[in-house]
Amino acid sequence: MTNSNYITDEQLMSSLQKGDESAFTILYERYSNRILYFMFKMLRNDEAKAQDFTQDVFMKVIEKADQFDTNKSFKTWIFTVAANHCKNYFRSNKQLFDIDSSNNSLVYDDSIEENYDQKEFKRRLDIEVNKLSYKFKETFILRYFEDLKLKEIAEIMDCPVGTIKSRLNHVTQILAKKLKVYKVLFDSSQVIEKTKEYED
Amino acid sequence: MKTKLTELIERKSFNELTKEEQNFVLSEISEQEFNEKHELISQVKGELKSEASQLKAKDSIHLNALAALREKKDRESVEESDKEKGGAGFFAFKIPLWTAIAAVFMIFILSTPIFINSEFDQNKNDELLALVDTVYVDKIIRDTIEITQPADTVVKMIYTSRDASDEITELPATIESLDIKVNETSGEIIQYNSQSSMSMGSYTSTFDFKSSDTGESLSEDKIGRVLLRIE
Repeated sequence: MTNSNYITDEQLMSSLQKGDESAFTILYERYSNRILYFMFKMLRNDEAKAQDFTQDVFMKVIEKADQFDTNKSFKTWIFTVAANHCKNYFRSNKQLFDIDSSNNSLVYDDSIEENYDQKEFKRRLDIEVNKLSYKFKETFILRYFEDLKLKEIAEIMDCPVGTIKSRLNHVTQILAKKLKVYKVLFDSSQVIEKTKEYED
Repeated sequence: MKTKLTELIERKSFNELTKEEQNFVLSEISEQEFNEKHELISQVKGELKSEASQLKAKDSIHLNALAALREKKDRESVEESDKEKGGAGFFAFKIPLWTAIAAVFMIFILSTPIFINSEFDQNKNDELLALVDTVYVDKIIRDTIEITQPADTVVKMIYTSRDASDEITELPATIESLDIKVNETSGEIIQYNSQSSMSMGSYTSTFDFKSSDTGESLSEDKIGRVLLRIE
């Protein structure tokens, strides 16, 4: 474990299966924040719950380390564990979240507020992302934040690659439509700021 | 095709595309739509990353996970040692020396022919039992064996005289008093009130009445006389 950068996740998992604590620590450092953010977004920005769920995921990694096939991708495996944990939570709270719904009807009013800055864009982005149904949101986060390949997302979500493609296309269309106004205004505010900087 | 378009949107702006790629994109969507999606995705990515950088997993998660890992390791090592103990436990089990000697002595004593066969006789060993391996023994088995045994029951009649004081003062039983109805033509008894007859003797049930061997004989009994038409 002299240079952890050259050790693959799968090799680390192999060491973890033998009870190597340092291997676990490296894996934890690599994935803890990623899993935390994934949970954070999936749980509608509930950080406390996201922290708890992240712990649960790593507990499962320890408990089920022996079940992991070191010939397969660890990244896909850990995100599958995380996604399933989230899914189980939503299933048990079905009255709050509808997992299977693919309806993305937007309830919020599209009225434009007065201050259109980056914060506003981010706020609207959060709103729009949170309004996405579970599956679309999961696809969106795994693709645009985790930079996972379509095949990997398909494996995590246990569905065909074609479904992932159409979901991504659908999400980008919705977000492009909903955030277009904010985007234009945000860009214009940036231009104004830049011109101000030049003037100064 | 759509995968390629998605990848291009995510990676490049329209101006960064090659001529070939531009032609491909224009065959699918407009330049404006392409640029809009590209900018949106790159901005969303940036937003997500900046938001993620503000979040950090708690140290307690790592500590708790490590504690769980150590606990698991301990549990597994205990299980392994238990397995090893289970395998060699029989042979590793120690007993005091005197117990071992006593056990061997007992096995030796109990395995001697004296204890195995109490009728063991040393002289019998010299006797010749058979000259061949197989001995055929012919035995006639009869289907029916009749065994005649003398009767073991002796009937002894004892006659005793009664005193006048032993006489039972009661009215002689009649057909009317015993509530017996007799068919006049055939002479068969149609109805017999056994309850009243039993109340006169020592019988408690009709079964006793018939099978008792301790009472008077039927010919001596008053009811019996009536029944047998002696009176």
